[in-house]
Amino acid sequence: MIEQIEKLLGQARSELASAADEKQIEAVRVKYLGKSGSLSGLRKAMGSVPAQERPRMGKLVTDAIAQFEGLLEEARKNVSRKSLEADLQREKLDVTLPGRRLERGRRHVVSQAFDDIIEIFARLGFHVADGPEIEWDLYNFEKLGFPSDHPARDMQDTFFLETRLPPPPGSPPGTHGQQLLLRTHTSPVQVREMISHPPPVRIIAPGKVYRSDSDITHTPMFHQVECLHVEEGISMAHLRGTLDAFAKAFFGPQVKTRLRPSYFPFTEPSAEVDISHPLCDGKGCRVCKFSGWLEVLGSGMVNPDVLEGVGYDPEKYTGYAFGAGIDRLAMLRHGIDDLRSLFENDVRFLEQL
Amino acid sequence: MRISLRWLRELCPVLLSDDEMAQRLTFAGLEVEGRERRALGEGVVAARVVKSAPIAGSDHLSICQVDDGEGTHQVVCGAQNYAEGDVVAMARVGVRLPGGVEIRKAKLRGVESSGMLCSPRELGLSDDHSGLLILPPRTRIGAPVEELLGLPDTIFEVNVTPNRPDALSHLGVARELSALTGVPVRMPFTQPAGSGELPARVDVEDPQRCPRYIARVIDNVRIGPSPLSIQERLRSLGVRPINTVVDATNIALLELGHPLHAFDLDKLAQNRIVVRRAREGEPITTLDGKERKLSADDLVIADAEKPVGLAGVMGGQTSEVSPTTKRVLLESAMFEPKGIRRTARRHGLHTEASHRFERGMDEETAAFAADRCAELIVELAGGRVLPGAVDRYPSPKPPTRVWVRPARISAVLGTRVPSAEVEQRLESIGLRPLEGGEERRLWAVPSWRGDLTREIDCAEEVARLRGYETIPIAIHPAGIGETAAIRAPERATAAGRAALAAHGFDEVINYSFVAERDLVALYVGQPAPAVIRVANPLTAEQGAMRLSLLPGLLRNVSYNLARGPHGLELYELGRIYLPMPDPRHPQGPLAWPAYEANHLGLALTGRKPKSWTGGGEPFDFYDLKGAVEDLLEAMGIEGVRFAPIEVPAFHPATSAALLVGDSRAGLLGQAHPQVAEHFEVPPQTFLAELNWDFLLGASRPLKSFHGVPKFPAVERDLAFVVDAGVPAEKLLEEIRTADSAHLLEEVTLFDLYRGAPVPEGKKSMAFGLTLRAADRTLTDAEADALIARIRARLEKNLGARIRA
Ligand SMILES: [Zn+2]
Repeated sequence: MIEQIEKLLGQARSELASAADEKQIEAVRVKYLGKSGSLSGLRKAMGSVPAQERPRMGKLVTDAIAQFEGLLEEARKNVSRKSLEADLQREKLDVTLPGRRLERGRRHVVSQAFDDIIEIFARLGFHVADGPEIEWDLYNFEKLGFPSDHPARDMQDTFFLETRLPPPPGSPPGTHGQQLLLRTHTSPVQVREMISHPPPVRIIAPGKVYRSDSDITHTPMFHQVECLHVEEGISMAHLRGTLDAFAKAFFGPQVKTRLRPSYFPFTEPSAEVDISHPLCDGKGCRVCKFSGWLEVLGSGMVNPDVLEGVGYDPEKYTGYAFGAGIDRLAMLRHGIDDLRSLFENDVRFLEQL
Repeated sequence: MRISLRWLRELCPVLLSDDEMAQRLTFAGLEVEGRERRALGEGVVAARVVKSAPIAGSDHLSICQVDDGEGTHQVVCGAQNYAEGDVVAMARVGVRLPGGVEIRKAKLRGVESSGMLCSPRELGLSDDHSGLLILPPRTRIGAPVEELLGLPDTIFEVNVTPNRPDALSHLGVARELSALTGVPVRMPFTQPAGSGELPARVDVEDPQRCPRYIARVIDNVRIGPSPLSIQERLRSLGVRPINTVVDATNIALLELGHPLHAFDLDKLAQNRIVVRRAREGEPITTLDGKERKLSADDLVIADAEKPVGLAGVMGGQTSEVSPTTKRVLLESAMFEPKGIRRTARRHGLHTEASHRFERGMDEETAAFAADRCAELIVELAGGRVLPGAVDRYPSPKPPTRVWVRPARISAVLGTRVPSAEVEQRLESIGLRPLEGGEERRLWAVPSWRGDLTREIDCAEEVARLRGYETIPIAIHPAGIGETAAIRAPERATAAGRAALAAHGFDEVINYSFVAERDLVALYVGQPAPAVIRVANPLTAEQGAMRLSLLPGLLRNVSYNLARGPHGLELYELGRIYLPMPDPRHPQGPLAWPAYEANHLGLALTGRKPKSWTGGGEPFDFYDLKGAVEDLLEAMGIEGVRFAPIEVPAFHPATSAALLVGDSRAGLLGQAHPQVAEHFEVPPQTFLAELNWDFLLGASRPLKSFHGVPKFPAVERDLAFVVDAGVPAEKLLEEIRTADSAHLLEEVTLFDLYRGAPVPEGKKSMAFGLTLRAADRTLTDAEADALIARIRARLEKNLGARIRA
C-alpha cells in the first residue's frame, strides 16, 4: 500500500506539472480525488486492511491526500502566474502614438514682455501708473519742454485728432496746449503722476504710443514703458543702476549697459542707452552692425524745468526717467527682424513665440 | 551734418585716427552715424588728350592718344565732351576705382586700350556721368587727381541733436574736439570791416524777428566755377557747387555754421535792403524756381520795391548772383527761430539756412561770419571788400551768465567731481569765470552756446566731457519693503488670460485706428456712433479710433484664413476710444480727454484640431460660450447669466448678452451675415466683446475656503420631456426653487435629445442631481421627497412629462 501511495503521488506530480490550465488541473483532481479517483479509492480499500494496521494506514492515506492537495494548489498558482506573464507580454501599447493634447493659446510676444517688465520693476520698488493715449499737447509736449514751433518737435512725428473734445482744465482757451493728439511717448504719464502725487514718485507706465511713420523699423503704433523715479538724493548713478538691473533681468546677467550723451527736452543730462547685443554676446554681428552694441532706450535726469512745472522744488528733489520701446526689446529677445510683423497677427507668427 | 575730417583737422590738428575721432565724438554726444571714404589713389592722374579719332564702325567710341607724363597710352573712350589738348582724369592700368572696377588692358572693337578716361561718377565724386572730368588746362600732367581735389578724405555723418546748433559746422565740431583733447582751435582768416560808407542802405522794420543785420559789399568779383578742390569739398558735404560767390557763402556756412546770403547789389532796387513782414498774398519766386504767395507772418528781405528773399529760409531769383554780377551785397543776419520755423513749414521748405535759424544762431557769430565770408569771396572770386559794414543791431545781447556749484554737479552725477575739474571743463568749451569762489562761481557763456542757461546744463557739459562711463552704478534701496502689492485687477487679468490660453486662444494686438468703413459695417444699416478721427492718418485704413475690438479681430480672421489655418481662436485685450468724458477719470488737472475703455474681444471660426482620437468638429456658439464661462469662473465672477439679444454686428438668432447681476457686461454670438460678408470671413464665425473694466470690477479672484463636506452625497438622475422652446435656464430655475431646504449641491445637464420617439416640438432633457446635507447623512426618503417636489413643479409650471 505504501508503495502504491508513493506511485500515485509520483504520477499526480508529473501530470500536474504538465497541466497547462485550470481545466487540465481539474481533470487531474477528478482523476485522483473524484468519486472513483485513485487516491479516494484508497479510503474505500481500508476495509481490507487488518484492524491493527488501520490507524497507521489511515494516516498514510490522509497525509497523501493532503500532499496531493498541496500539489494541486501549487499547480494552480503556477498556471495563473504563467497566464499573467503571458498577458503582460501580449498587451503592448504603441507609446509612439501622439498623446491627447490641448491646443494651448499663446500670449502676444509684446504682452509677454509687458509682464516681465512689470514684474522686474515691481522687484525694484516701482508700481504701474496709467495714462490716456488720447492726450493734450499740453501734457505730451508743452510740460515736457517742447514749446510750440520748436525743432525738438521734429523728433516725434505726431498724429493729431480732428475731433473736438473739452479742453484740459485750467488751460487758457485757444492755446496750443489744447490740441488733441495721440501721445507720441509715454512721458505724459510722468507729468500726470507728478501733478497728482507729492514726491517720492517711483512708477513705470507701459502702454501704446503713436508716431506717423511706417517702415521696417517703424509702425504707426508701438509700445513704450516709461520709468520715473523722483525723490531726494537721486543721482545719475541711480539711473545707471536701475537701467543695468533692468537690462540684466530682462536679457540675462551677461548683458552690459552703457550711456551716451544725447538730448531730450525733458531730461538734463540726457543719455541714449546701449546694451551689449545679447544674441552675439557683444562680439558683433549683422544685427548690431558689428559693433556689439544696440541702442535700446533714451534716458536722463528729469529736467528741473519739468519738476518746477509740476510744482516740485527742483533744488530739493531730483530724479531720473527713461522710456524704452517694448516692441524692440521683445524683438531683440526673440530674434524678430521686422517690427511690422508684430501687428500683422499671423497665427504662424503668433504660435511660434 | 556731414563733416570732412580733412577740414576738421585743419581747424583742430589732433593726432587721432578716424576711428578714434568717431569714438571720441560719439561719446561726447555728437554721434557719428556713418562714414564715407573719398579717395582715388595714386593711379588716377591728370593726362592730356594728344589725339582723338573715332573708331571705324562705332558711333561713339574714339581712340585717344593720352600723355600721362610717363608716356603716351592708347585709350578707347566713349565720352564726347572733350577736345584734343584737354587735360582729363585717367585711371592707369592696375587701378581699382572707388566703385570696385579694376582697370586692365583690354581690347574694345579690336582696339587695344590701356587705361580709362573717367567721368566724375566713375571716380565716385558725384552722380555726373555726362562726360569726362575735365581738369584746368594748366594742370601738371601726371599729377594725382586726388591731390588736385584735396583728397583723400573721410566724411562723417554726425547726428547733431536739436539743442546743439553750434555743432552744425566744422568749427563747432572742432571746438568740441579741442575741448576733448586740449588741442587749440585754429581760427580761419577774416576781412574785418574797418570803417567806410557802403553804397547800400539797410532798414530793419521788424527788429524782433531780425535782431541783427550785417551787410558787407564786395566789388569787382569774377563769377565762374570754383577750383576743383572747393567743388569737391562742397560735393562731399552734400552741397552743389554753383559759382565762386555762392560757393564762398556755402563754404562759410559749412565752416562756421552761420547761414549767409549774397545778393547782386545792382539788382536791388535803389541798392536798398528792407527787412520787413510780407504783405498778405505778396508774390516771390524763390531760388528753387517756385512762385510763392506770402503770408503777413513771413519775414522777407526786400529791396525798395519787392521781396528779394524769404528771410533765413531761401533767397529770391530776381537778385540772384549771376555770371554778370559785379558787386555783391553779403548778408549776415540773425533771425528769430520760431518765425523762421513757421515760414519754413508754411512753405514746405527745409533748407540749410532754415534748419540752423530754427535751432538758434547767434548775433556774435553773425559778425564773425560776415568777416570770414568776405575773405572767402575774395579768395575765390577776387575783387575787393569795401571797407565798412552796415550793422543794424539795436539792442546788443549781453552774454548769458550762469552760477555753478561743483558740489551740486557732483550730487546730480552721483560721483565727486573736483572743483578744479569742473572749472577746467567749463573753460574748455569757452565759458569765462566772472566772479565768486570755488564753491559757487558765476560764468559767462560764449554766444554760440545758447543751450547753456542753467547750472544743470553745465552739469551735463561736465558729465559728457569727462565721459558718462565715469558715473558709477548705484542701486537705490527705495523698493525694499515698499514693493507694490499684487492688486485684484492684476490677479484677475492673469487668471483670465490663463483661461483663454487653456482654451487655445492666441492673443493678437491690432492698431488702435481702423478704417471708418469697417466700423460702419459693424452697425449693419443702423447709424454708427460718433467716432474720434485722426486728422493726418498715414492711410484711410487708419483714419478712425476704434469703437470696438471686432473690426480688428475680423480682419485678423480673414487675413489668416487666406493663409491656410483650419481653425482660429483669437483674442485681444485693449482699449476702445469714445468721444466722451471718461467716467473713471474725473474732471480736474488729471482728466482724460476721451473715454478709453478696456475691452476683451474674442473671435472663433473653423474646425477644432483633428487627431487620431477625434476632433475636427466645427466650432460653434457653445465653444465660445464655454470659453467665456471658464474665463469668468477663473476671474471669480459670480451671478452670470446669458440672455438672447438682437444687436448690430451679431446674428439675431444666435447671439446673447452676458449679464452679471443686472448689468450687461458684453455680447457674444455669431457674426451677422452682412458683417461676415463685409470682412470676408465665414458665416460660422463667432464673436464676443466684453467690457473688461466692468469684469475687473466684478471679479473676486482670491477665493475663500468653505471646508470639505463631512457627509456623503446622494446622486439622482431626472429625465423629462418638455416643449422645445423652454430655455434650459428656466428648468434650472424651477429645479432650484423646488429645493427650499438647500440640499441641491450640483445640477448637470447630461443629455439633450430631439427626434423620435420624442414627439415633434418637444425635447428630452436629463439632469444629474447631487444632493447633500451639511449636517447629516441624507436619507433616501429625504432625497425622494425632494425629487418628488421637483417633478411636481416641473409638471405644473412647465408642462414637463417625467420619463421613466
Ligand atoms: Zn550682435
